[in-house]
Amino acid sequence: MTMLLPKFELHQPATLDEAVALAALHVDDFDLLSGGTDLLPNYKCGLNARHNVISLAHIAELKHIDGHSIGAGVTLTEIERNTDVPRSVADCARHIASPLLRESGTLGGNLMLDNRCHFFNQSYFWRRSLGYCLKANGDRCHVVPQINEGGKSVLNDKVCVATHSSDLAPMLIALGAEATFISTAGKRTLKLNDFYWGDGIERYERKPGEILVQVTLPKWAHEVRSGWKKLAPRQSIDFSVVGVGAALELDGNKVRALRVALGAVDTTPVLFDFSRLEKRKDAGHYLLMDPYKNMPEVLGKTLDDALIETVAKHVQTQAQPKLNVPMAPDYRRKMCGVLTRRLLTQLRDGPAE
Amino acid sequence: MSKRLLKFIVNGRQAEVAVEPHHTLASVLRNELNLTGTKVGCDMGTCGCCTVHIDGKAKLSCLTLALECQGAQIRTIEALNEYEMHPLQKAFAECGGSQCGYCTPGFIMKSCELLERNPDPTREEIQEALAGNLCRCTGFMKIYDAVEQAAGELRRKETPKPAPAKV
Repeated sequence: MTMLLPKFELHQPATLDEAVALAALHVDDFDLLSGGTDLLPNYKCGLNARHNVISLAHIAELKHIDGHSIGAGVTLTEIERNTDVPRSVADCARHIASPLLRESGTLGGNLMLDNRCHFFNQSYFWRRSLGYCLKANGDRCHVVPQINEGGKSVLNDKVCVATHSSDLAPMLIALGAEATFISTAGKRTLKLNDFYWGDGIERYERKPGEILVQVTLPKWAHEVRSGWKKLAPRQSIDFSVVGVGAALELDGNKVRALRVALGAVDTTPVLFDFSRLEKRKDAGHYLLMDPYKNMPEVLGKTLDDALIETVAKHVQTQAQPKLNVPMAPDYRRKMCGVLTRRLLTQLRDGPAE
Repeated sequence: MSKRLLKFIVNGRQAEVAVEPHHTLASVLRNELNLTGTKVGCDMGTCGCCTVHIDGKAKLSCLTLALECQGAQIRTIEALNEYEMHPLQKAFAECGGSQCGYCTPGFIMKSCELLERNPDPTREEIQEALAGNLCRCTGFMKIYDAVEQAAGELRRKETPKPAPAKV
């Protein structure tokens, strides 16, 4: 089956400065293309195609990788085979999609992944038969048809709940990564966790014409124990339907710091910062979940099975998966707890050898 | 959105094609250069049928824009049997690793890259490398057998023969 791409103009800048200038020139009507493994399937389905596509594939400045910073243009295969990045990050990259897709797909593309939904990632004909959806061409959400507004149940024409399925985003957020963006206004660095916010359409705080340059890991990311667990229908190709990344620092057997990040259960990755080393964001930062509600106290406590169970239970209680990606929401919610428990047990006991 | 000249090397030969920005490499190879050995299955990156080598890396040609391959070296399934059948092709035929044959070019191109990188892969390494290719006929086992057999064949070919004893 051949699916035709819509017509667009392709820009192929050779330097970052040229790319920034092009992004500023076409600020209302451009998409960035790197590997193309997420953008082109969406374009083939006619999902929010733009008239200008700026390719970042030929920009050498974006392809730098070392233990502390990873350029946005580094492919997932390169991350997977790199020995300087934390092992959990390489392991996470190794479980994304399939080897063929990882050869093209890049870090930037994985972090900027478009949100996914049963009613969005469909062919044009499929969507037309249903009258489209909020995220593309339409005016209503089919996953959450009604919302409560001032005590009344009204048609949902505002909030998109499409799921953010990136794997590297929650893993890097658990490790406290920072993202650097560039635009004509200059460079800007912010915590990766603060970058994601809002519903399935907005999904991140990107200023007009900004391009992701690199992701930087703090020094402690190499010192703590960290790991990644993912649930997907098949072991390869599929997007994750639950992803759990965690960073754990132990003092003897007592918890000194614990950060758990959930992927693919909300419109953004969700951070449970049990150590609260960073300032808490205002309520409403996450669309569906409130990770800090009734958060159990874990700092300074012995990390035994009971404490792991408490943490897992909290994550499971707060998770709010919706019926918009494969697998039932109840099952996925339960698996949030199960994967958190398995991951923390594994981090506590060390790698099985 | 006008056509642009794409110059690249396909299977060792210089090729020049006028393509539009939204043309994928798979469509250019099949429709403009008549290299129809590369198949298009899902056209969405899921099946792996359209795998070709771009600068030595096995990539999906359905998700690569043709103009992104400016100056690149492309190798397709047609390059493997220019003089005689490649050991991988022989092994796929002998082991029954190909039934309807639609996915086979993708499997062979990906296996070919694997064997160039790692001449003696374990069964697990073969399975992991081929995780992005789908086959709905064989059930995969015969494909893994074929890759193992071809790997052995290629290693035998590459081992230099012992020098003839001097009299």
